[in-house]
Amino acid sequence: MQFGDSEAQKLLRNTARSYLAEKFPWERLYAMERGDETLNESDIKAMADLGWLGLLAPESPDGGGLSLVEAAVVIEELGYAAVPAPIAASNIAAYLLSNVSAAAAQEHLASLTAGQHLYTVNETSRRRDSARDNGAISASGGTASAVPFADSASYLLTPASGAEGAAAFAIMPLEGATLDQLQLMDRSVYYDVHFDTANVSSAITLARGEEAESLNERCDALVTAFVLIELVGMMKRIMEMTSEYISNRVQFGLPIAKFQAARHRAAELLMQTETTRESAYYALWRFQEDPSDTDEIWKTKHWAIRAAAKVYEVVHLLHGGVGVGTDYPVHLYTQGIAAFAVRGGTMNEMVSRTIDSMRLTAAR
Amino acid sequence: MEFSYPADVQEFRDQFSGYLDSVLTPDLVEEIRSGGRESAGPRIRTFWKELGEAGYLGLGWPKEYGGGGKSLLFLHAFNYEMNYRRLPLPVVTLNTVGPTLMRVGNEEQKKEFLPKILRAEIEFAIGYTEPEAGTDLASLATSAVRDGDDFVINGQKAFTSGAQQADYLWLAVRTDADAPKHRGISILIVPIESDGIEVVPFPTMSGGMTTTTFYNDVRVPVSALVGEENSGWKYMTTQLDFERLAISPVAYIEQVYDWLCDLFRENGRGAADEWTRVMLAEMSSDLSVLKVMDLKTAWMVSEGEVPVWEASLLKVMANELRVKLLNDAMQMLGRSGLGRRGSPGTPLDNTLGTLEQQLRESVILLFGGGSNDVQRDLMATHGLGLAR
Repeated sequence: MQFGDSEAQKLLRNTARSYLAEKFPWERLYAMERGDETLNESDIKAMADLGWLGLLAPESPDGGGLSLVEAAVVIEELGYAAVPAPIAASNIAAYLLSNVSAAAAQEHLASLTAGQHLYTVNETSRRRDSARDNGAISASGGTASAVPFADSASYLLTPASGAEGAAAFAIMPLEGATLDQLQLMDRSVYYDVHFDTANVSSAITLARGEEAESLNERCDALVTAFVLIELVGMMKRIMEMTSEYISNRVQFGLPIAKFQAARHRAAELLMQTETTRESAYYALWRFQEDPSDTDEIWKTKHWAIRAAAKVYEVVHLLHGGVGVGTDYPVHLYTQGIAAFAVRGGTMNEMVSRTIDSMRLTAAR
Repeated sequence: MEFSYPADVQEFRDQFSGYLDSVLTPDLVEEIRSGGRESAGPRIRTFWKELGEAGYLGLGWPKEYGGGGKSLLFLHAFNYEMNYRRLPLPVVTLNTVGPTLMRVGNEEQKKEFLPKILRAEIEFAIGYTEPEAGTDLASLATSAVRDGDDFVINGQKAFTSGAQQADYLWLAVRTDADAPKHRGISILIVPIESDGIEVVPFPTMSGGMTTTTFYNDVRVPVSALVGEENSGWKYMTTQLDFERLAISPVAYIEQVYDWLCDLFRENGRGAADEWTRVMLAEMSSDLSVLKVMDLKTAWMVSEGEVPVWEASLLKVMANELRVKLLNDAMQMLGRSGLGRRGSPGTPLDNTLGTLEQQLRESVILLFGGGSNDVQRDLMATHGLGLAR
């Protein structure tokens, strides 16, 4: 057993932390949040040069060859730095391509690890959202809803329905597809992507039937697991920032951290953050050991949705007016935390998956 | 005991609701939708003037000040209807500065300001909080020093909301540096155009705007003083009591709850989700409780009582439940709940404000009007009689 970072993880974490702090100072993140600036090509290239796009690809060809819990360190640091980047999407693509038997996958994996093309994944088509059709892709075209970084990416890995509605898993070129940019709460980069028949005809089916179903399941699970990891990065940072703020903010002649009410609130942040963080890594590790073992991922998201709501509230309560200013970093984190609580599957899905995992009998 | 509005208040509310239906033109709705609730454009100002002319703004004001002389339950019905539709209102000026001026202003000030407030011709911004005086408001340091017939003001205020469009500041200043901190504060009415005032925008994550204001040798005549010199703390707490009552968000909660129920009545798939059903039931129960407490507080005010811990109880519970409701609503809707104004498929993109915008806004009332933890302290002291 080893709860803390391994030596390899420590190294990766330190590199990520210093790189992100240097390249993404607050002012730049504020500008990105306002929509005045975006992640540009040179940022993505720099991240490719660091090997971040293919952490999960095998060492040959040129991948990082890392395990899921090792690669997760970089994702957590992106959350910690509040930097929206296509690292999770690209690595989920790398993971899926590495697990596909089709020969075409090898070619794409080589292009991904070389940083020639950016790959993204369809996070939502199978999500059980209450009030919205999440879109589907078939031979006659269709929509992939809320695709991360569809503007920078060249290819989308997505569930699709093959002949007579059978499950398939496909890789779709994004060139020629119509993109509708979404303006989301945390200003993360998402597009609805519309494909017509011509787009679909240039897609390559990577898997069908049971193999496709298994890939789709793994994609869903990994999307949620990486959402959890990025979320805990944000929670950790905002907990540290809040502790620092209340230690320095003086009212009634004392730092407000001396007042019991504020201390108890801060302890709540610690409880929510620490439990969510350890559980997120545990769930990811279980999945790493056995990709059919996804129950802990759903249970942890169920926990994290509730934890995120508490963190959101406590952080603002303790910061007061300063915390809502757009020239102060708190809002980057709280907006991100609220958005990541929705991303990667919502409460209805987590409740129903958790209940499924309990294998209760329906008889009364 | 009698727990519902008196018949005449209910009749008024129905009539006022019909009036609002008739005056909310598409242009006005669009101005509210696009401008947010914290910056009033020309159509909103015209709307306020019409409300004033129709006698709605001054409903609860005494007749001697041009008001309707109605019980404060009418004012409650008016505010509830406005808030349910999330329509902007110069709340601070109308419901807090106005009533405070009636109690402590001199005749000249009442004559000068009250009629204009009622006609929505002037707006005030409140200048209390400072960078180093937030929860510990009484430690404020912005000074006003007598110089002949003038006060000379120097200092800085934070979160002076509305100063970018206000005509006057209702400014708390230290007039006696040697007195205990609660006893050296006065209130001045300061024209915003006075020399030496700088208003710097402070955009917030709600999409709205507050300001930081700087005062550099600002001169106002001694006639700008409200009430007695060095009695300002008393007036501030009076004003804050009024403010706390005016910003109860129960109507906002009911609006989102009603909207969700309507949505799921039409959308069978969403209504079948187990967790959604349980949470809607919880919201329904929460809302019933809040509405009872909201009415109790309004009733106390209408009877001339001051709901100290009762107002705190409502403020804490309503605002915390509002944040929970919005978080839950976003879980029910998934991705579309994250959509900002104008994003494809975003629900509630009208005067009501998208769900994510309402969530960004809702956190402000966790500390605005007095931090919820301070309110809990007040409840322990005044509600339970616990030793401090």
